[in-house]
Amino acid sequence: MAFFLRPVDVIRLENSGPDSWTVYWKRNFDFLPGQVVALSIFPSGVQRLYSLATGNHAEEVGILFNLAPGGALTPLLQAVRPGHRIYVSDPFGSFVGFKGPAFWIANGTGVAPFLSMLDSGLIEDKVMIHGARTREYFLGQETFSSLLRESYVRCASADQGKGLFQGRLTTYLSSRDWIKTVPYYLCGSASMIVEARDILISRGVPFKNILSEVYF
Amino acid sequence: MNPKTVLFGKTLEELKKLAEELGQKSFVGTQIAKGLYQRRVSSFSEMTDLSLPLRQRLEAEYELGLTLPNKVDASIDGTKKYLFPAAGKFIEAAYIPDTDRKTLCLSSQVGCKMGCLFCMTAKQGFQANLSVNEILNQVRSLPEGNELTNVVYMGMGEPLDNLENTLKSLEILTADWGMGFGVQRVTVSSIGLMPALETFFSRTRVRFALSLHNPFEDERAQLLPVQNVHGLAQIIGFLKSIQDTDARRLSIEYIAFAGVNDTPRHVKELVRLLHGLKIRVNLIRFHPIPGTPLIGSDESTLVRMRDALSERGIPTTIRRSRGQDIYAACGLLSTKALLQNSNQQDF
Ligand SMILES: Cc1cc2nc3c(=O)[nH]c(=O)nc-3n(C[C@H](O)[C@H](O)[C@H](O)COP(=O)(O)OP(=O)(O)OC[C@H]3O[C@@H](n4cnc5c(N)ncnc54)[C@H](O)[C@@H]3O)c2cc1C
Ligand code: SF4
Repeated sequence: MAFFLRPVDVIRLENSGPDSWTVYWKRNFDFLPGQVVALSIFPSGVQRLYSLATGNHAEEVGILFNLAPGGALTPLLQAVRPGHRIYVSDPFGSFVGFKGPAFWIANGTGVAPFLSMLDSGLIEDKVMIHGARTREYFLGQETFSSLLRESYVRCASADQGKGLFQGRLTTYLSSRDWIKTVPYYLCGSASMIVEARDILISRGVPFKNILSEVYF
Repeated sequence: MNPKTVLFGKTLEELKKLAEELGQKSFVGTQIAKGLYQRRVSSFSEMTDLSLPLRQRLEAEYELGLTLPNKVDASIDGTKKYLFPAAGKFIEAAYIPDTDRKTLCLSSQVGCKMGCLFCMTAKQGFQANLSVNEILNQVRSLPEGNELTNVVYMGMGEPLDNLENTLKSLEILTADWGMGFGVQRVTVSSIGLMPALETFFSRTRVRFALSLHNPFEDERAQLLPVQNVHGLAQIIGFLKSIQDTDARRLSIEYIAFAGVNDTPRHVKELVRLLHGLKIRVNLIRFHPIPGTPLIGSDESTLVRMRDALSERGIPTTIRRSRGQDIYAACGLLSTKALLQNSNQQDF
C-alpha cells in the first residue's frame, strides 16, 4: 500500500552541496510552494517524501535531497541520469507559504520549501535563519543571499568568518527577541525543530504562530 | 569474535528457516518458538524438547537476548516505570496494574521524529528504531511479565514509523505459537502515518487508537507537525472506508488542553468528524512537561466534554491518571538520561 505515483523522466541531476543533489523533471502538476511529493525509483519500490524545491510556475520541478548512506532510496536517486524514469505522486501537504511577513528557519535539506517559496515570488518581508555545521553545508545559500540579502542569516555551529553568525542556530534564536505576531515556519530535522520551537515559545512567540515540517 | 545471533524476537518463519539451516526439521523451529515465547525459558538448556547436541550448539552460537531493566520508579498506586537499555540508549516501559487488568505500556523507538508539541519524548529527537527483540523484551523481561493481561504501544516513539519491527512484534505477541495475547488485548496507538496505517490494518487484527488531539486540521498541525503531510480527513476517511470489513475496536486519544482543544466548538467539530464511525474517545489529562505552553483542562471541562460527546452518541471516558507521583510524562526519565550527553552540531 502506498501513494499513487506517475512516471516522469529526469531532465538533470545537479550537485547542490556536499552529499546533496537536486533532481529535476518537467512539471506535470500544479502545486503550492511548500508542498511535498512521494517519490520512488521503481513503479512499486520504496517511497519517500520530498519537499518541492522549485517555483510553482517554473517549467521544471525539482526536489533537493541529501544522500543517506545505506538508505533505501537516496543512493539510487543519486545514481539517476537524464532520461531515467522515476515515479512521483501528486503534490500534497499544508506547510505552504503565503504573502506577508514570516520567519523561515531551517537546517539540512529543510531549506527546500523555502527555495520553492522564494522561486514562487514569496520574497518580500521574509527572514531566513539557516543553521548548518560549516559554510559549505548552507544549501541554497546563493539564492537566499541574493534574494533576501540582509534578511538571510547563516548560523554556523563549527565555522567562523565574514557573514556567518558563529554558533548554533538555537544560540542565535536564544540571543534575540522575536516578533510575536508573525508566522514562524520551521523545517528540517526533528531535533532542530523541537529545540527551535521551545526557544521561540520561551521568548514569547505563541505556539499558534509556529508551523513545523518535520523531515521524519 | 562475531556477536552471537539473538533468537528472542524472531518470528516462527525465521525460526523454522534457522532450524533448517542447522540441519533440523522445520518443526524444530516451532519447538524453539514455544520455548522462547510460551515456556519463557531463560537459557537454551531449558529447551529439553530439543536434542542435547542442538541445545549445546544453540548455547555456543546463539543467545536468547533478554535484557533486564536497569532502573525502576514505583508509584504509590502500584504503577511502575522501568528504564530498559536499548540501542545504546534508554527506553521506558510502564507497568500499570488495575483491579481487572495489568497493562504494559511499551516503547517502539528510542526518541521520536514526530516532534509533537506536548511530548517529552519529542525532545530527544530520533535516536533509533527498536528491534523486534527490544520491543518484546519489554514484555518478557518485565518483572511482572507473567501477570500481564494487556499490552499497549503507547510509550516512546511512533510505532508506525518503525513499521516492520512493530508488525513482527505484534505477530509474535498475538500468535498461538508466540506469546498468545488475544488481539483484543493489544492496542497500537499512532498519530496516523499514511500509508503505513493501511499496511498496519491489512496485516494485523489488534486494536487501534488514533492520537487526534484536535479535530480542526490547522489547529492540529500546531500540536502535531505530521498533520501537515498526513491530514485528518485522509486518516478518518480511511478508517471509515474499512469499518464494514474490519471489526476491530477503534478509539481516539484526546489530550485535553485548556482553551486549546476543549471548547464546545471543538466538541461540535469532533462529532462532525467522527460521524458514521464506530469509535470511542478517551479523554486524557495532560501532565505538563518542562517549558510547555500548554495547560491541562480542568476537571469540570473534562466532564463537560465527556458528557457532550456521549450525549451525541460517541462513547467517551476520562482516562484515570496513574502513577502521577512518578509520572511527570512519558519520556522524562530517559530524556534526562540522554540529554546529559547530547551535543548536536548540524544546526
Ligand atoms: C514531509 C517530509 C518531507 C521531506 N523532504 C525531504 C527533502 O526535501 N529532502 C530530503 O533530503 N529529505 C526529505 N525528507 C526525508 C526523506 O523522506 C527520506 O527520509 C530521506 O531522503 C532518507 O531516505 P532513504 O530511503 O535514502 O534512507 P532510509 O532508508 O529512510 O534511512 C537511511 C538511514 O538513516 C537513518 N535515518 C533515517 N531517518 C533518520 C532521521 N530522521 N534521523 C536519524 N537517522 C535517520 C535510518 O535509520 C537509516 O540508517 C522528508 C521527509 C518528510 C517526512
Ligand atoms: S506523541 Fe508520540 S508520535 Fe508524537 S513525538 Fe511523542 S512519541 Fe512521537
